Amino acid sequence: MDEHARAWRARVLLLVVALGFFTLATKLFSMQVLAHAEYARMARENRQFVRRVLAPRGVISDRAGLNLAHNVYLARVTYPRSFAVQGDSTLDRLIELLDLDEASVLKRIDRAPPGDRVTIVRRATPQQVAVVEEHRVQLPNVQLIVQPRRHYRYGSLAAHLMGYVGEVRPEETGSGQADYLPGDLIGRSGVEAWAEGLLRGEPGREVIEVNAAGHVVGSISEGGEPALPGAEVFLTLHAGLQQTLERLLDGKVGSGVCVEVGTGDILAAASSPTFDPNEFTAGISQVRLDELRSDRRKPEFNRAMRGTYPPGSPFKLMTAAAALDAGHVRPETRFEPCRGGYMYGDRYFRCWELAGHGSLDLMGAIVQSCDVYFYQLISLLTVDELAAAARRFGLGAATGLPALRDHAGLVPTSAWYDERFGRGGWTSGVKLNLAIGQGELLVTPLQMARAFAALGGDGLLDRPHLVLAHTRSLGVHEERSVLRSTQPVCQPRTRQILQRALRLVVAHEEGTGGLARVAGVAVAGKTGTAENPFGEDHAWFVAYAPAEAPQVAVAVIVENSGHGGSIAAPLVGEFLEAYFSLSGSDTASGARR
Amino acid sequence: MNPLFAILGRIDVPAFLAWAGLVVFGLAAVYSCTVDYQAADEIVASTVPRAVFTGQLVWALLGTLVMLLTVLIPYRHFETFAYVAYALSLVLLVLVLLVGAEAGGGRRWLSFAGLSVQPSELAKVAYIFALARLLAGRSSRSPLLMVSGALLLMIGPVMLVAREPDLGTSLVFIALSVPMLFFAGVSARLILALASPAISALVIFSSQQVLDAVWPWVAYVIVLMGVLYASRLYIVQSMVLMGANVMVGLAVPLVWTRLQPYQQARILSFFDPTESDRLNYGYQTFQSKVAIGSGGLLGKGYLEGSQKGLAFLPERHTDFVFSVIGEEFGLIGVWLVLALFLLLIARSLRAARISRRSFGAMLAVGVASYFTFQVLVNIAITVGLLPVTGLPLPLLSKGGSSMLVSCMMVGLVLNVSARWSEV
Repeated sequence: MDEHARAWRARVLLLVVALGFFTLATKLFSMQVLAHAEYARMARENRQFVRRVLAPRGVISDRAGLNLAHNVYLARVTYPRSFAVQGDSTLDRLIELLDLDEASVLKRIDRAPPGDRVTIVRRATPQQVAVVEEHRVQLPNVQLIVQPRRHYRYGSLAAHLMGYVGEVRPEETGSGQADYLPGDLIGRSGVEAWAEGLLRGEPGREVIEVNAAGHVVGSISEGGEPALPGAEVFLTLHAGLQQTLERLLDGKVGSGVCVEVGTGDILAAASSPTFDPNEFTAGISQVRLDELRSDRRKPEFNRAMRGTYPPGSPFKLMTAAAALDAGHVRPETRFEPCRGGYMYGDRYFRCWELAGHGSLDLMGAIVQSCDVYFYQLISLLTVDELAAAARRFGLGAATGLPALRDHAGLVPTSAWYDERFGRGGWTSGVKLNLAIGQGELLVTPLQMARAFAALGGDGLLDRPHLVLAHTRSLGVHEERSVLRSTQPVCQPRTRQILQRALRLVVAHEEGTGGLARVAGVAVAGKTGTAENPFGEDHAWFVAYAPAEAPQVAVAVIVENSGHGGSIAAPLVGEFLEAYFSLSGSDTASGARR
Repeated sequence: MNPLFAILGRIDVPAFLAWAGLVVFGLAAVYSCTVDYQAADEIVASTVPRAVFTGQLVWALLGTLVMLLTVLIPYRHFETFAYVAYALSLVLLVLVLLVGAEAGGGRRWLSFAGLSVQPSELAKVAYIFALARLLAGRSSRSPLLMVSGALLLMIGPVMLVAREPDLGTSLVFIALSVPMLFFAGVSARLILALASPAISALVIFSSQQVLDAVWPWVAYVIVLMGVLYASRLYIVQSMVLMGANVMVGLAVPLVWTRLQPYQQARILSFFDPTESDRLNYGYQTFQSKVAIGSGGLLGKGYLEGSQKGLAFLPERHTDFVFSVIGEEFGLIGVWLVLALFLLLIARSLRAARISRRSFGAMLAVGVASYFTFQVLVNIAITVGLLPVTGLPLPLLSKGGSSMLVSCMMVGLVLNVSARWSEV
C-alpha cells in the first residue's frame, strides 16, 4: 500500500472517530448545560423526600393543671418479613447486640401480624435504641419506628369523660378537613373525640435526605415546616374530687355528678363500673374486648350523662314547685292523712311507709317523703302542668353539655301519652306515679345535679361544662362561657320554701337524708328510692351545700341497692366532706385557672 | 546510552501525556468513590472500600511498568509471537468457561495464585496481534482473502466470549476488525456490503420490538435489492449478499427467544427507558444520566457528588466511573476526558500513518480501534445512548485486567511511533 492511500485511510478513520466523539460531546453539552436544571431537580428528588412530622397530641389536664393524659413515645425495632428467617446474619447480629433470646424472637416472628415488617422488639429500651443506632451499618434494613402512644396517667380516672384514642380507620383518612393518614391517632370517645381539633395540632413537614438504600441521612431545614403541637385542654374536673367520687362508687353500679353552682362546671362525674382507657391505646386484645363488651354492667357506659333512671322522690320537689307556683298549695297545706296508701279510682297506690305518715303539711311531706301527700297534691295539676314544671328544671331535654352527648331523659306530656297509648287510652292515674318521680319519667344524674344547683342557688339553670380552657395559641383561652337559662326554675318564693324543706330533709331528726350530714357544713338534699320494674330499687340522693349559699350540687345514684337514705345519702355526705376539707386555696373554685 | 533505553527519548510525548492524564483522572475518580459523603446531617460511609483505590493504584503502577516494558521490546518480536499469543488467549478463553469463577450470572474470571484475570481482556491484545500479522502479510492478498482471514480469526474469541456470556466484549472483536480491514485496503463498499446482514438484524429486531411488525424489514430488503442492482455486481455476489441478509433477518427472532432474560431486559430497557423500568436495568442508565446532567458545567466539586456519595449511582467505580467525573467535574471534566482520549487515538492513527512497517501500522490502527470502540460505547451507555453492557472505560475504570491491557495498548502505540522508521 502506498504512502498516499495509507494517509488517506488514516484520515478517514480519524474523521469517523472525531464524529463519534463530537456526538458524545454534544450530548454531554445538552445534558450538562441545556438540561442541567432538570437533571439537578431529579438528583435532588432522588435523595430528598418530604416527610410528615406528626404534631404531639395536646395533653389533657384537670382544672388545676394536673396532667391526666399525655403522650409516651415507644420505639419498635422492626425487620423486613422476607429477611426474618432463622440463620439470617443481620437478624443473628441484632439478637446478639440486643441480647435477645433467639427462640422467643423466632416465635415472635412466627406469630407476628401480617405486614411487610416484623416487630422484633415491641418496646425498645433507651439502651436498645442506642445500640441499634450505633450499629446501623451492621444492621441494614433494621428500622426503628418511634410511635407516640396516648397514656392516661391515672388509668381509669374519669375514663368515661376523657375517652380514648385509636388509630384512624381507612375510611376516615383523606376525607374531611384534616389530613389523616393511616396510623394516625384520632379521638374515639369523650373529650379526646370532642376536642380532636384542638388536641391534634397540625402536622408539619420535614425534608429528609436518604441514600440509595432509603436510609435517612439527615434533614434539610429548607422547605420544612414545624408541626404545630396540639393544645393543652383543661377540664373542669378536679382530679382529687373525681378520685373521691370514684372511690365512693367503687364496687357498686351507679354514678355521681358534682356541678359547681353558678357556673355549671362539672367538678366530678363518675360512672361505675369503669375501664382503663390505656388498654385501648396499648392495643386491646380481642379476648379482653369481648370480656369488656359482654359485661352486663357495661363498664364503657357513661351513666352520669347517658344513664336514664326514674328520678324517684327528688322529683317531688318539681311536683311541689309546680303546685306552689300555681298557687294551689302553701307550705302549711294539709290533705287527708297518710295511712300507708291511697285509693284513686279503683287502684290502690301505696306509700313507701306502709305504716303511714299521718297528717303532714307540704314541708313535712317533703322531709318525710310521703307519697300519699303527693298523690293528693297532683290532683290539682294536669300532666302538662307538671311536665312544664319539670322542663323548667331542665328535665326531658339534653343539658347542652359540650364535649359529650348526654341523654335527654323523658318527661311525658299528654301528647306523649296520646301518641303512646292512643287518645283516651290512658287515664289521669298516670299523674300519681309521675308526682312521686315514677312512671315513665327518666332523668340523668347530670340533669338532677343541675336542677338542684339551680334550686339551691338563684334559680337559674347553668349549662354544664366539662372543658374549662385550652391553649390554642399563646396564653390560655377560656373555652367555657357561663351560659344560664333566662327563666328561673320556679318562683323565688317557691324556691325559698323548697330550700327550707331540703335543708330539713338532712337536718331534721325525722328527715330521710340524715346520713348526708357533714360536720360544720349545712347540707340540703333529697333522698330517693326509685322503683325499678326490672329489679331492686335504685338509691338516689341529690344535694347541694352549703345550704345557705350553695357552692356545689351533687347527685348520686346506686343501682339496685335499696333506700336512698341509707345507701346514697352517706356517699354524698362523704363526698361533700372531701369537697369542703380541701383547703381554701385548693377548693375547686379557688383552683380555677 | 543503552540503545534499549534510548527508545524512551523518542516516545510520542502528546500520547504519553494523554495516557498519564487519563490514568490520573481515573485514580482520582476511583478514590472519590471510596470517600465518605457528607450528607445533610451525617456522614454516609462509602460502600466502596478504600482498598479498591489502593488496589487500583497498584494496578496503575503495574500498568505503567507493563507499558514501559511494551515500549522497550521492539514490536517486531510481537509479530513473531502473534499467533502463539492468539492461540494462548483461546486456551485461556476455553479455560474460563470450564473453571472460571462464577459471578453475576456468568464465568468471566480466571483466578490463580490469588490473582484474577479476565481472559477476554487479554484476548483483545492477542487478537490485534494476530489480525495485524495477518493483514500485514503479503500485500498481494485480495480483499476477500483478508476478510475471510479476519472472520476466521474472529470466530473463536467472539463465540467463546459470548458464551461467558459477555455480549459487549464479544462485539469488541468485530469492532476492532473493521477499521483494521479498512486500513489494510478493504474498500468501504465491501465492508458495508458485509455489514448489511448486521443492519438487517437491527432492522428486523427494532421493527419487531417497537412496531410489532415486519414490514420495515421487508422494505429494507427491497431497497437493498435496488441498491445491489444499481451497483452492477456479479449475480453470484448479489445472490450471496441477499441470501445473508434474508437469513439473518429470519434468524434474529429465533435467537432473541433464546437469549438470557437479563440480556433481553437490558436490551429492552434501552428501547423503553420508562420510569417503571428504573428499578431494573433502566435504573442504572437513569441514575447515570442524573449524575452527569446534575453535574452541570463545572460539576458539584471533587468528592461532592451526591449521586455517587449516596450510592444512587451503581457500578460507580467500575463501568460508570465516567458518570462520577461528569457529576463532580462537570462538562469541563468530561470534555477534558474526551479530548485526552481523542488525542490518544489521533496519535495512534498518526503512528499508523508514519510507520514504515505494515505490522506496526496495523497494530496502531488496532489500538486506535480498541480505544475508540471502548470509549464511545462506554460513554454512550452512561449518557443513555446505548443499552447497558458491562464494558469498562479503558485506563479509568477500576479493574486490573482492563488497566494492564489498556496500558499495554498505549505501550504498543508508543513503541510503533518511536520505531516508525524501522522496516
